[in-house]
Amino acid sequence: GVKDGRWTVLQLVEALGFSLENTDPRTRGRGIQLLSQVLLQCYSLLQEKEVLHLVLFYESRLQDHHLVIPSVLQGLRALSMCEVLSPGLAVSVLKAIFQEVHVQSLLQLDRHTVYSIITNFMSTREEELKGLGADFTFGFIQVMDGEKDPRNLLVAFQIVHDLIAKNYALGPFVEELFEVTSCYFPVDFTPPPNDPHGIQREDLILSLRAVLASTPQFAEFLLPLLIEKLDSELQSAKLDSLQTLTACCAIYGQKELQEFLPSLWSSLRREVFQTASEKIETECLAALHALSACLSRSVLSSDAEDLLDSFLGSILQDCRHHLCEPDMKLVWPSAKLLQAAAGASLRTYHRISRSVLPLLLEQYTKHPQSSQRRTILEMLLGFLQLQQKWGHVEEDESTLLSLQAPVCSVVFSALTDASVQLQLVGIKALTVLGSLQGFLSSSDLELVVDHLIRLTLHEEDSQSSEAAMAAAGSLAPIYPKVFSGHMVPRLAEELQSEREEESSQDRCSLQQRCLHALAAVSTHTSIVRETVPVLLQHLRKVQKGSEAGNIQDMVSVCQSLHRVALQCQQDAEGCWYFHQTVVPCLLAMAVQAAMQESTHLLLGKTLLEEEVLTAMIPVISAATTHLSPELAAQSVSHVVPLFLDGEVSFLPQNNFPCSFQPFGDGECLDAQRRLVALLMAFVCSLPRNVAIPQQEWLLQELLALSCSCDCPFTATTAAKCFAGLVNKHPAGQQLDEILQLAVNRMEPSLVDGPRRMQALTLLLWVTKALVLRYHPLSSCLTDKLLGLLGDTELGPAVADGFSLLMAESPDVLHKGCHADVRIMFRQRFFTDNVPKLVQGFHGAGPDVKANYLKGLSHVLNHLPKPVLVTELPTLLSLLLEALSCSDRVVQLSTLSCLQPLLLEAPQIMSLHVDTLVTKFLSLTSSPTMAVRIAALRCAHALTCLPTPVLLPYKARVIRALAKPLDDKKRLVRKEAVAARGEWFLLGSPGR
Amino acid sequence: MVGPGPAALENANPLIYRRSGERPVTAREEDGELHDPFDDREIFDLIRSINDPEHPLTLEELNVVEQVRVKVNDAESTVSVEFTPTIPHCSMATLIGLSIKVKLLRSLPDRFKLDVHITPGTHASEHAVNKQLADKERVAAALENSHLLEVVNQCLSARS
Repeated sequence: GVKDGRWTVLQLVEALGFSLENTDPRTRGRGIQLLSQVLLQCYSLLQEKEVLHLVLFYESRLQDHHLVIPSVLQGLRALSMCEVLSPGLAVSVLKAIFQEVHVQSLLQLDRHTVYSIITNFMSTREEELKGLGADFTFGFIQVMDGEKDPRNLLVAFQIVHDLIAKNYALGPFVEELFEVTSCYFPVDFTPPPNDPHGIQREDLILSLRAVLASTPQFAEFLLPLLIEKLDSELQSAKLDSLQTLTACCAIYGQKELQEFLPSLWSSLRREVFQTASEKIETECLAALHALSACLSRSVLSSDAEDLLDSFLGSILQDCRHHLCEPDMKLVWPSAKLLQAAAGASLRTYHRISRSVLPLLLEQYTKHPQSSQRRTILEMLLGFLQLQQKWGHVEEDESTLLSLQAPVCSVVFSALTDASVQLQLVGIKALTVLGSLQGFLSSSDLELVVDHLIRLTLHEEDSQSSEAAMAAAGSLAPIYPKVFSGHMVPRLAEELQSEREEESSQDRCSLQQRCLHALAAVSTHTSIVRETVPVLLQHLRKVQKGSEAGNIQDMVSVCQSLHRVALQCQQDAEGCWYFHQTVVPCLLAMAVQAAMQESTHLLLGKTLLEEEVLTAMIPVISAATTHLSPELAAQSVSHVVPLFLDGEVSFLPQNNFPCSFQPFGDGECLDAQRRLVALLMAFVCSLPRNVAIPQQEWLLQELLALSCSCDCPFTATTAAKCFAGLVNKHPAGQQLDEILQLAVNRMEPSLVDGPRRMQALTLLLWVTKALVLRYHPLSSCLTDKLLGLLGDTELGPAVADGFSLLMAESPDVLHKGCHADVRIMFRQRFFTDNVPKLVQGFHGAGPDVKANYLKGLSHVLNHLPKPVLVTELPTLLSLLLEALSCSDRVVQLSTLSCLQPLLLEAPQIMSLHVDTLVTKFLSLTSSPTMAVRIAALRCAHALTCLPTPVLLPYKARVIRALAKPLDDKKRLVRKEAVAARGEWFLLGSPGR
Repeated sequence: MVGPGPAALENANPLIYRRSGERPVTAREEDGELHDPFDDREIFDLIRSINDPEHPLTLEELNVVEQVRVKVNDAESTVSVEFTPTIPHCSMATLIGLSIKVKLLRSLPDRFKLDVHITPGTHASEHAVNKQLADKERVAAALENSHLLEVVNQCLSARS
């Protein structure tokens, strides 16, 4: 009634009069409870006057019997949320609570109410509370002293944090406030199982850390505590201390740290030198970094000692000499400590590098062994990378610049060393030096390029050569002129030279290197303009040649072109240049080759080999996907007429002996038809908003070709191209018509006849195109496929086709070529079709059962693991059955499906431990190596199940795994060793 | 034999050596038909990643085991491993030898006869340690001791 205004609170109080004044505390309690409940619901409607009276009433009740107190506090909480509370009342309520209530003897919920009252007042009456001065702080300290409940602690920590952050007067109570919070450090709390409040240890740690690290006033108390905990044995205490120290450094200054620096440093040093835990090492380094940064930030008064200098001095003193022992264990910890400090600020960097860089350079010359030199150079590299962080090299004070000559000579000497490991570090260092603006002189740069060319082309080890190419790639955009003027011509020359004296194998690998390097260095548009013509020129040359190995050569050129295409995708100008230059050129070469075939049987035919065409597809595709719609439209208006009308005028060198009609009926047009692959690469990569001229005609031609062609490559490509276009075709009548046409065409061929495989391929690709975009017809087509699983002739192919449906296809129908792909299509396909697969399996005859299992394993293999885990219980029995299937593809995919499940859902899997152990062990003697390996991996993964479940099997598994230890294949033995070792550790001490 | 204590490092700053990388897989190994005989590297791979009881380092990094000191004869089913303690008075020598022996026992087929011993001339009580390691019953008895088994298992666990 009070809520909608029919009653006033006054009337309610009067009505409750009897029970509010009753002498029995229980009755009184019930009365106040009712009143408080009402107030909690309608505190916003109260008048100022009413609030005043209620507050006075409740304050007086605080002295009442302890049974009444909880309800009184509830009422006060309601009142603390009133906006119309008159000034002064908040203070008086709090004073009354501090005075009358011994908070820590209340229940958890009531303590929480007190904290809520304080929080409410703090957020609305900040000024008034500050008027209380330090008394408020003291009162609160008493309230929270001894709090044990994590829920309340989270609130209490928040209040302390606000006290400090909002500048409440702490007065003489700083130490008390610190004591009352720091007694929880380090937080040691494990949430009870099934905890409904969801408070994690981490929550408490973070909120306590926020309190402790909130003010420099705590420093004198906190730092000794942190040092003490850092010196303890407990890992978690160490970690927490280090992280808190790092947090404190954000607000501390010299003054707070001064006294404690020596002991902080010695603790940090000890941990980094001795710890086995990478986590602790990382946190120590972070803390040292923070300390150094903090000291660098502090403003010095003129007479004060420069703490940073003496701090860094002691670090250098303790670490520097270890750098001279590149074989010893402490060399890396020392280097990491120095680097952590040096990375803190420009000042620390200069101070440390001034001392360390000359030392490292000197040590490099002193230690002649490659492995020692490598360690030294790696440390040097670490310091160089820090310099990179500060960006440019400052002219006047940079130590590095004054050491330019010795640094370069050390790095160059590493590049010419015989040790590959040293070369690799040298190459990395070179990359860093190159990225420091203004560090390398132009003569140095030429030397750098010479070294890179030498390593790229003539270094025997492929790792070094690849690293050199990568370095060239990352330096080229910084110095495009040097690379296009110096490196590209050298590579081109090398590529064209025909040195007779070399064996053909060397020649071949040198050419490969050149091709790779040309692609690697094409990271800047101006360089692309130099390298692309070289690559195309080389492709033409290879085509004219008649050597047997030139299929591989052509593929290599295409791979290089593909890499260049990918590298210039992001740059609109480079992308268009590449498209405009490469696509017509490849098409022209292919068309020419296809025409020539009728006259010269051998010459130029290699270009039409399946492998070469397949290698061209990604080139054209990558050159097309990132085109702007306008430019793509311009290009499509040339390419489509080329295929439909034989319109060759846009190709370079377009005087061909006969006409180009890939969709024509002629007998000798097989070669021309193969070029549908290039058409597919282009049209299926276009952005979806680019209209394709004469699309319906094109689709009909593709459909006809895919069903009628006898060459599997051409038929499959035509089907893929058709599917790629259908996937992007806007929904509507036109699409329905073309799909109907396709279905009519496929159905009779699927039933029988010579072209069942072609029809199936088309069906698979069209199904995929529609499944991806959730087209309604897709379910009908999928059902057709499910039906065909029972076909003795086509069944196995259909089963394999499920992998095609689920997998990412490399050339069409993926996101990269703008296909319409819904993100959840796999899950959807799974839920729609797996029940049917399972049903089909149970109803199938023994000769085709395997097809269903195979189809199922393909679907499961491609499903995201989290989804799989939730679906597992229904499917597990079938998977276990699949393990007994004799088809090794089924075995393999089932094992690879079960292995992650063992790791991620051990609870469910442990229900079937008996079957799993038996089947895995029996598969370890499969005749197929891959199955043995997968079975052993599963046997290894079994050890993730709860130990008590496994122990009964331990002896049996260890005995059975002795046999594969003597397997004839080393790779199998390796897995057996790993699995058996882990089984030995089960239930054994020290695991 | 004493377990490692944090304060009692005998050799706090030992020489460390680079780890050899994973053995590259050859085409031959991938061919399911061919037979790959056991070779020295394979045995070395079994023991190189054993953890040192004192340091967070592997036996390989401390150069306690080296590939040249590992010999296997597949046809005659024999394996011989020499290990070199980091300092001549290393009190961990027996424990290290035991770890190597246990690792090989668990990882090699029964047919192999194992011989694990200290590189001659590198340890003060070489003969005593070798004798302990060669004695099957003493090895078995050592593994009955759960404290010892715990330390050995820690050495053999994959590094976290």
